[in-house]
Amino acid sequence: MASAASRAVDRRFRLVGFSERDGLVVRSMVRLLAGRTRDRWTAVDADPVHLVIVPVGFIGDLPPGAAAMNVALPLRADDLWSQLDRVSGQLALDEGMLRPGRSDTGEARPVAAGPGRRLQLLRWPPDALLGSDLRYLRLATMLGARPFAIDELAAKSNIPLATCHAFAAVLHANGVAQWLIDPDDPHADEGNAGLFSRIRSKLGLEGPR
Amino acid sequence: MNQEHRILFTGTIGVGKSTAVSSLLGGPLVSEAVDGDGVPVAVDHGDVVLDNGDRLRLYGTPGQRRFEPTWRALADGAMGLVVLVDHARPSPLADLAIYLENFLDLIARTGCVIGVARMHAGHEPGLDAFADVAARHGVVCPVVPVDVRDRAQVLSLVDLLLVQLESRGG
Repeated sequence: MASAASRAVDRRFRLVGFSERDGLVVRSMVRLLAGRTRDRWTAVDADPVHLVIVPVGFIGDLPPGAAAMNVALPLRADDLWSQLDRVSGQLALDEGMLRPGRSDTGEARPVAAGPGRRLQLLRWPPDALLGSDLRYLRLATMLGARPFAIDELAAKSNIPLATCHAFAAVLHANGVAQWLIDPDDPHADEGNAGLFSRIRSKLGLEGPR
Repeated sequence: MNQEHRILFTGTIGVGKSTAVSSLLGGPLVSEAVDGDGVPVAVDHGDVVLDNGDRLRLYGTPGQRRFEPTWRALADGAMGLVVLVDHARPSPLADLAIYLENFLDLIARTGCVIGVARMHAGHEPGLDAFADVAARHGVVCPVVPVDVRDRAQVLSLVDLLLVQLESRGG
């Protein structure tokens, strides 16, 4: 896998809703993190941008198509760093979904979803692919538990089929999942469904999705 | 007759096993002497009574070798495992390897979630290194950062554990 430095991408962000002084602090902090964050972030004043940073509690319109990130003041470098890297991971995942047949070395990998094929997770995916998006965490968790056909994955997770297909393609392209052709029928028995449902209900958890 | 179901939270001393369970249940835990091999060891747990009268018991259990009879007794028949790793310790990857080895049977039979506590952005090892250790043990399971004081984050660990169990059917 390529190193973090070699994968770094130039990204643009702008600030919305900050006072001039707080804005300066945020920009300075991002500059100080240069070379440490996963991507190279540059502050700009006009769209298009990859990311809009707003203060916690901000109410207002945000430009469409950009990720949004809330930051709390006083600013903590660790928090800012962590949030920027999570946004980078999410952007990489979204961009990967637009070109699902490519690995990060640019080499084409066959995408072999099809009837009778199930996707098996070979290892837990890199953090950068998952970010903090609960949908991807859930899909990866399901695929780690047993191989799934994508239509079944979508039905059981209640996540749109297109998202499941795209996520599967990204996992495959990154070498962390493989397609199985006509494996043994791995359908889970539903014996404990009632127990899991009761636990979810008692703990206030959604699902099963 | 009502049944008891167990989920174990394991990890090094001080990582926050009892804190995690307490955060989740919103109250103090009960200390129980578990007799694994003629030597009772005090173990904290909290209970959830399900709507059919069954009891879900969440244990904060030691996982060190010297307590092996105790955690083996608890792992027998448990429905899943949460491994908490303290990122601030000198060798968190080695810690994880020990817990995966100790609980490999339970993990293979049920499910597992790895929660990395006290993790700060940019500090090595990153989450991917923990996933590498799991992969080397043949374990494919969620690896996520967690603040054990935050109920929502602990609940998320249990949610991912349930997602695994539901996918496997049990």
